[in-house]
Amino acid sequence: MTLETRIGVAWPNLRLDVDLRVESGRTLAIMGPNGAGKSTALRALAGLLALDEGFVLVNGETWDDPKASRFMPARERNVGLVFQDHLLFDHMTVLDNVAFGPRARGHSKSDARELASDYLERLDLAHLADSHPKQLSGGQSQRVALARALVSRPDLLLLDEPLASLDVVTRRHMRTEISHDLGTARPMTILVTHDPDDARHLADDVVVIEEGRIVQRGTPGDLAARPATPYIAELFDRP
Amino acid sequence: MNRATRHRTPFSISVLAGIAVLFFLLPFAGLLVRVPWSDLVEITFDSDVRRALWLSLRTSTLAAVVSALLGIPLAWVLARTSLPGRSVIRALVTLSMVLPPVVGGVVLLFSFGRRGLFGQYLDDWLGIRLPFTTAGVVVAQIFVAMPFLVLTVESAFRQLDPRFEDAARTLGASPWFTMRHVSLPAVRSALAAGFVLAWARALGEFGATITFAGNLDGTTRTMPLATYLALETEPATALVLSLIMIVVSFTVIIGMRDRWLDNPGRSTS
Repeated sequence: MTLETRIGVAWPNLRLDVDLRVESGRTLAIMGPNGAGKSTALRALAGLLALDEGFVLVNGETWDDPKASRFMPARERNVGLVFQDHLLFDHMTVLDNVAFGPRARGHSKSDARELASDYLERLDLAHLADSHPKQLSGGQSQRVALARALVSRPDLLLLDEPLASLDVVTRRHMRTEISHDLGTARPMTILVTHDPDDARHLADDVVVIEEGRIVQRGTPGDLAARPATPYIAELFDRP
Repeated sequence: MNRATRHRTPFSISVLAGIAVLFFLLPFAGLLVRVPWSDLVEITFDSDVRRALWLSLRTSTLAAVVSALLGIPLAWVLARTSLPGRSVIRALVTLSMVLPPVVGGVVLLFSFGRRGLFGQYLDDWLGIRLPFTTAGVVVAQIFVAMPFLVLTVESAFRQLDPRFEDAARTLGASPWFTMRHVSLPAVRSALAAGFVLAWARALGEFGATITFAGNLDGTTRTMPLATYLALETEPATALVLSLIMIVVSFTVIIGMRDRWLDNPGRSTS
């Protein structure tokens, strides 16, 4: 499976114009300073924002192409989006949060719960099934949010700074957990992050966006060894 | 609790707050002292009183339900869409809330009255007459009560992070599924509060009702109308009617409070 896209979004004071390519089983990290357009790119890929220019092509299927007046709304795209602040539904149990996607896509309530229950078990989260989101720690919330996004087996997984709200120790631990949760048959994954350690541990490739443009692509090692801009040099300048 | 968060209340503030409490408390004390307790049961089960009470409960509940059915969608549109003229609509909704109710009755009479702009067609085409009917009471109540629900729920929808709805969409939810399973449950405290406010406002409706629907025993004479009428001839009955309304309102507010209003984080699913 392949995602090919050129994301062109016109902003009042800045234009986002980046092209990306991801294949199944690979994780692409998007890095860059605040306001560079990273989250906007994810919203466009998820179908929460229509492109002004460019295209989103997934395995030959067009998800968005303003020239052809083609726009597939978010709910028809098989994507999973995980937000920095989890956005679990507070009025539902963990189980019902994870069952939400299958239910919304037409499974009966009991089928959806069974799928969710199996999935939570696979991720060793079964003990949290009856908890409410407010009772979870930050790390637990993030893993439940990830489970909620993954249970429908998305073609494309979008992670918007999934670890940024966690403390440093939990974050280190969670990188291992997320790698485990994603498993071996991982979908095409795009990870937006500020943290070079996230990129080193979770990503195969990195692109860095500054002011709406890609300024460098490569593996995390490439970027650390040959940074193209002062920002990237500073970003990776750690022992 | 640490000392920084526990302020010492200035004396003058305490005194003024105390006067405010007394101002709310004393009228009730005055009423309770004068209630003819020995005739209470007899007056309560008097058929006129029962009719008025039953009419009030039916009409105000129906008015609150209709307000919810129409008001929740309106609140949603005001909070979540970029419909042109939203501020005009909101001003209109607020206007009917702050308008003297008797003026509300007058505008209803000249629009939905039998010779009103629309009322004549309701009568000619559909055979529906609102003035001097129970339906007219409900219409008058909705007119004054729905704004409370709309503004309460709109404010809750505004405070709801729209990204929860984004999350639902990426999980495959249709707009209707998202509304039913994410947005409405998330604002359920405001829904309950708005419903109670609208219901209470409808229960107390006087000016618009008497102006638009009249004062017919058993048809449009609700509790407030019956109370006002009784005050001139049978003050004891007026006191009992007032007591009943206080008890009914108080019970509903306490009941809702325990179940909904103070527990925004509690689950209901």
